[in-house]
Amino acid sequence: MKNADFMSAAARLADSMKQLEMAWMATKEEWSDSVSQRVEDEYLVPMHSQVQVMLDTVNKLTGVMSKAERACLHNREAGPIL
Amino acid sequence: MAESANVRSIDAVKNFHAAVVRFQEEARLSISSLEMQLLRFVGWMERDRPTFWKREIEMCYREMSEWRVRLHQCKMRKMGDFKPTCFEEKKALEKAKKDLEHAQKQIPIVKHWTNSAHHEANEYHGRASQMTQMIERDIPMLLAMLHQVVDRLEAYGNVQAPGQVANPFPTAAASQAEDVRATESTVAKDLQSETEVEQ
Repeated sequence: MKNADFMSAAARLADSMKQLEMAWMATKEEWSDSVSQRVEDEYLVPMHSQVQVMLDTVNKLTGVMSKAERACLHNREAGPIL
Repeated sequence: MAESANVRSIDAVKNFHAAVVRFQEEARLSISSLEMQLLRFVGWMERDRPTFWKREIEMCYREMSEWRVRLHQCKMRKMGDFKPTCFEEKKALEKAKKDLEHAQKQIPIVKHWTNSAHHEANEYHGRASQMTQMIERDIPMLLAMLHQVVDRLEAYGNVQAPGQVANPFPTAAASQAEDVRATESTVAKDLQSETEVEQ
């Protein structure tokens, strides 16, 4: 898109979630009891879902906004739309 | 009944705490960047586009009247039997008319897509507020919990001799995160009684 970039922020969010999950996998090797299970079940699993929902929302948002942009740009402004 | 803790490295928990802090910061930045991009885009749709197409319509009218004049002047250049085709002028006038038609059609199109953009932005804001709640409420709770885990482990490390089974997490601690502070005092009591037994 020419007038907004939603994907960079979404990619950043996705990447930070991935980093957090990797950190958790490493931690789990050293910590495995009812409290660590609680960290996973009550925090990390919901956080993962929340981020996934957010990324889906941003994808949809980008789709609609790209169409809006294409429809409202003049040919001479258009150029290559990403 | 208390369950035994299975933590082989306090540093692992500390590292994870740091990873959660990094994630919280990155998530905040992502949300704020998305918000900025969305504001910018909706502003472009709401303000820039209607102005742009209105200006375009005015420009097309000017072009049309200019080419009408030129066409008229061309037709006036008739000399004897010679009739100029005025092809270029006719073509340009035709183009200006088509451009005007297109620009006029863009006004309702911009309105339609501005409404769609608003609708999408509202949906996004609903999701983003849940995400913000996660960043500003759930993550601090998780951080407090991890902090407490580290504190307890360190406290037990200071009290218990090596090789003894540490139990810094009574089952009560696995309840709600809001109870974290309450269980802290339970652990302190456990610690106290264990110390007394050892003495």
